[in-house]
Parts: sequence; structure tokens; C-alpha cells
Amino acid sequence: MNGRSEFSADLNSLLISLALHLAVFGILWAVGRQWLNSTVNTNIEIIKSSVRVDLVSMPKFTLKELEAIQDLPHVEETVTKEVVEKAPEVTDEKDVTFKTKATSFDDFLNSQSNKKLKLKKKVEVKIKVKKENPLFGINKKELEKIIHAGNKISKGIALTGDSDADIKKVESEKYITGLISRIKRYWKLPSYLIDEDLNCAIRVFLKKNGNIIKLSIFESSGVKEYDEKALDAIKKAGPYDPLVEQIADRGARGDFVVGFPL
Amino acid sequence: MKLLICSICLILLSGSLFGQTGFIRMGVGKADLEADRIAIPIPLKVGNFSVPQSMAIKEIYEILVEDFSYYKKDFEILAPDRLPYMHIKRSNFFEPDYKSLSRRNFSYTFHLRVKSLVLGKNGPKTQDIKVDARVYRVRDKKLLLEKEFVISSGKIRKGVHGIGNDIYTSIKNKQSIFNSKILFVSDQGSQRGHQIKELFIMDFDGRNSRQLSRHNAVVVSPAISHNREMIAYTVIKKSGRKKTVDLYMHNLRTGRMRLLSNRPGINSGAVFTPDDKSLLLTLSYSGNAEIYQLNLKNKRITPLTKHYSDDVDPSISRDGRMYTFLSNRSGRADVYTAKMGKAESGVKRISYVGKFNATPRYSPNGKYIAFSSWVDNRFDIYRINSSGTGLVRLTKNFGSNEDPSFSNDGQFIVFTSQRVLSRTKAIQNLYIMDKDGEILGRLTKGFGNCISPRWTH
Repeated sequence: MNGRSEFSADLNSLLISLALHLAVFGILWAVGRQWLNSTVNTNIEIIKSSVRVDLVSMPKFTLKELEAIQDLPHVEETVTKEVVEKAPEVTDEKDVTFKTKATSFDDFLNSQSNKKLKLKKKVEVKIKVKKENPLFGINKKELEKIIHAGNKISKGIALTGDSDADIKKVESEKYITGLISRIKRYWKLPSYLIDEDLNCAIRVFLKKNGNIIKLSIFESSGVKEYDEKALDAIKKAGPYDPLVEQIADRGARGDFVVGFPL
Repeated sequence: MKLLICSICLILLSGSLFGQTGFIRMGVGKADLEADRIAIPIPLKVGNFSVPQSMAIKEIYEILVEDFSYYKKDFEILAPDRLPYMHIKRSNFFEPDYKSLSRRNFSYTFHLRVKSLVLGKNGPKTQDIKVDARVYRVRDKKLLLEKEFVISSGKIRKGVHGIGNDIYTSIKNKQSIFNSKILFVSDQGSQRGHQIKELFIMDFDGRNSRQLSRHNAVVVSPAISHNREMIAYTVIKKSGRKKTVDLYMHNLRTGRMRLLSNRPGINSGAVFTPDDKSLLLTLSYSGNAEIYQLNLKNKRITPLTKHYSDDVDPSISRDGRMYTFLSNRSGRADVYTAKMGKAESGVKRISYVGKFNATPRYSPNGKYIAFSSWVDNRFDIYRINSSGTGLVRLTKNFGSNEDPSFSNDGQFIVFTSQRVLSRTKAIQNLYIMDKDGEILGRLTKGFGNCISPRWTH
């Protein structure tokens, strides 16, 4: 009897000991994993901050050339259909609506030449221009890529780049940044207004193809000329690039509000 | 810049930016300046004029229009032949027709009335001309300037530059480039086997050049003081095997020239500090080229750099707090900035690209640094923010371009451009461009090879 009870007591002790060991091991494992994760994350952050710079060479293009590239008209197909999207109701009374004239690349080339070119010779003219001007010898999108690569020391976007949401967000951000920089090129004020502490905001309604549907004054500066200069800047900067998928529907809703200056 | 940062912050902070509801608000930042349209009617003549005086009046008008055409980003001037006396009320030359001016979007109008200056009892004894100048702002019908000038027959250009500067200042509340000058070095007068380079000075527009030095040697790296009274420059002389690279000082007021520093090695690349009491320069007497501050009163030198690499070519910011220089401490010639004061204080590398960078020069407001860089077997001029961001190229396909120097107002850059004429021959001239790289024209022609331009402050 004694021997049996001793065996039973030993077994209990063994089980308790095993359970305690397992518990301690479990705690250590959990803490260790947490520590390991945080260390890895910290290391990733350190690496991110150290490597998220795209090293570049000296700029290939001059400031003037970059301006010329940005001035190239937006190339698009001729619009044959009226607006499908209906703009939502706008409470502002001072709506400004206008139509934008569609232009083609051939039209642009023609406008650059003093001679009236015949339609048959169009292909020849294109080749000629490509040879004469290196700017037109490259696709505009390719040029923009070169500008990004060669003229800016810019932060990288992400370390891994595997997140679809991140990529979409980046595309939207890139579109908005492009939109702003385009408008900024035409945002000019006379000397007597440039130092005034004024601010206005314009609501922009865009088609999916980047054409302006209409503009409305969202917040007025109180100075008519200032508001008109802001409207002019948006008009002159258009038509814009086609809206990216993530914000395609928001253009027609008039969700874009452009502040002058903020 | 602040506005730009705020704009970006606005985009980032708008939580609903890429959500599906709410507005996407974005800020475009500060506006650029729109060019002001200016009417400059031809001067109204009062009284009788001699033939030379009539020609001088024509010249006065042409110089004034030419001066303002340099600021073509700020001002739009209509062709003079389209503005004889229009926009002036018939009853009074000084009464602008604001209605007509406003309708044609003019911002300002300059009115000049000229009179023959008669001195002496027996008729005109001088060819001098009195100019009554007025500037009106169309927007609020305000008279901005009303001033009389006397233009001497022998100093027409100088006189008109003065009028132009007063007109510009009345509109912009700051100085123009019209009264500024450019120092440069030319090898005009060199003979085969004996090269000489002497110091010259000319108006900002390339006119009225005159020789300042006569060393019959090679002059390099000139600099002019902020009060325009002193010029420091280096003279390279060879006698037999011995070669000296010494620093001289030329007093423009007295015409005196004196030796300032003849330490062993290089005594070169001097620039005046904003108070004109000292110079920053490169000395190599220690065996290594370093940048020093030389006190002009007691001639004491204080080291500003202390590095085993060579540090050369300093340029100081207008507020005197920072200087930029060239150093090969990275393994190649790169641009650095540092704080004035103790040696090696706040040294920061600015350029990270370019095979060989040279001649960094601060803009007057300290915002930019222009420098040249060796790309595609030639030098071209680049501009970078003094913080090290915003690197942009200014010249391309325009010969080999070096040695930029900002104008006193920071709006223009003078530089040298070399054209290869044959295998053994090339010509170097001075050109002017605006700070964004738009070439405005050549300043020197038929003046030999012109190098080292320095714009007066």
C-alpha cells in the first residue's frame, strides 16, 4: 500500500513539475518571440531609414527643358461623346463651366511648325522632329520617368512593395501630386497681390479622362481678382491626365478641392 | 518652402484623402510673380537741342528700355515704336491716361521729360541733359517716383543706369542690377610664349570695360569688396624655376596696389566677408590647401578648415554666417558648406554626384549655391539649395560652362562659356543667364579669353 501511494505521489510531483516547466517554457517562448519580432521590426525600420533613398546622377535635363516637357499638351483621343457622369449639386452660385478643346499630338506638332503640313506627310514630319529635338524623340511618360530618376533624390516608396493597398495609395498620391504641380505652373499673381495674406479654394469636377467638367469657388478670398487668378490657373493647367482607378469616381463628384495657396 | 511643406502636410493629414468620402483637399503653395506690363512712352523734348543732344536723348530712351528688358520675368515692355506718346493726356505730359492704360492691362508707366541744360550767359556751354522722370502705378493712380537727373554727355550710360535703378527701386523696393559691375580676367594682350592675364571691370551689360591691373603676369581669382573700394586678386609669376602665387590688394579709390599675402605655396581664391574687414582665402603654406580668414587690419590668419584633404575656393553668404567651399575629402571634388567661426565648424557635404565639381558660389540671399560640374566631357552649371536639396541643371549644349557668379540681386548669373574653334584653338567669353538658366546673351566679344567673372555686391 505504502509503495503504491509513494508511486502515486511521485507521479503527481512529476506531472506538476512537467506542467510548471511547460508553463515557464511557454512564457519564455512567448516573450522571446515578442522580443525577436520587435528587434526584427526595429532592424527593418533602421534599414528602411537608411536605404530609402534612390541614388541619382547629375540631372540630364535643364530646368528649361523640364518646363518644356511639362508644357507639352496632354495627348488624348478626340472626344465624341457628351459627359456621361452627372456632377452632383453644388451649393455655390459662382460656378464656372467651360469646354476644353481636345488636341492630338499631330495637332501639337503642327502648331509648333510655321508651315502647314499635309496629312500625307505626317509620318515624315514626326520622324524629322524626333531627330531635331531630343525631347520629342522620347515618349512623354518615359521622359517623366527619367525626370523622376535623374533630377530628384527622392525617398523610396516602400521596403517590400508587396502591399496592393500601398501601391494603390501611392498611385493616388502620385496623381494628386502631379495635379498640384501642374496647377502650380500656372498659379501666378501680379506684384500687388503676391504678398497679400489671401486664401481661396476651388472645387474641381473632373471627368475620368481628366477633362474639366466645371469649377466652383469653394472658399472665396474676398478679392475677386485673386479668385479669378486661381480659376485661371486650374483652367490653363487642364486637361489633366486620366484619373487613376482609386479616385476615378470622385472626380465627377467634385471631391477635389484645390487651395490657393493652402 | 514653408507653404510647400504645409501643402504636403495638408494632403497627408486629410484623413479622408483616399477614402471614399469627403473632399480631397490639396494646396498649390505660393504663387509665382506675374510679369508687370510697363508703358515707356518716348521722352518729351522741351526746348531746343543740338544734334548730339538729340542723339543722346534717343540713346537715353534705348538704354532705359534695354535695361528693363533684362527683367523680362518681372516686366513686359511693349515695342517702343508702339508707344510714342499714347496713354498720356494731351493737356499735360505728366498726366497718364489711366483709363486707356488700365484697359490694356498696364501696371506701370514711366514718363520722361528732357530739357537742354543751359549754362552761361552766351548760350549752351554744355551738352548735358536734364531728365525729369516720373513713375505711375496704374492700379491706384499713384505717383511712385518724381525725380530730376542730369545726364552728362560723356556718361550717358551711367546716368541712365542710375535713372533705371531709381525707377526699379520705386516699384520693387529693392536695388536692381543696373548700377552693378562685373570684374573679370582677360588674356587680351598675350603673346606667343608669354601668356598674360590682367584684371578688367565692366558694366553689368558688358559695356564700359577698363583695365585695372598691369602686372604683365597671370592674374586669377579676383574679388571685390562690398563697398566697391577694394579688389583682391592673385598674381602668378614665374622667374626661372621659381613660381609665386601671391595675393594683392587694389584700392579703387586711391588706385594704390599692395602685396597682401606672399606665404609659401598658394595665396589664392580670396573673397571679402560682408563687413569688408577680412578675407576668406586658400593658403597652402602648411603643405595642405586649407581655408583661412585673413584679418585685413592686423593681417592675422585664422584657420576655418583643418583636414588632411585639400579645401579650396571659398564663397561666403551675404549674412556672413556660412561659407561654401570645394574639398576632395570625399575622394573627389565636392561642394561643402560650413559655419563661420571655429575650424571645421558645421561642415556639411552638399554635392553627392558629379565626377568633378568646381567653383561653388553663394547666391546673395544664401538660398542657392551655383557650381560647375564635369559631365559628358565638359563643364556645365548646376544650382543646388544651400541645404543640399533641389539640384537642378542650368546649362546644356552651350559649350563648356564654368565659374558662375550671382548678380547683386540674385536674379542673374554671369559665367564663362568656352567654344572650341579648332583642335588647338578655343575661345572663352562671358555670358549672362537668369537664375533659372535662361541665357540672356553674351557680354564680351573680341576681348580675348575672358575668365573668372565676379559680380559686384
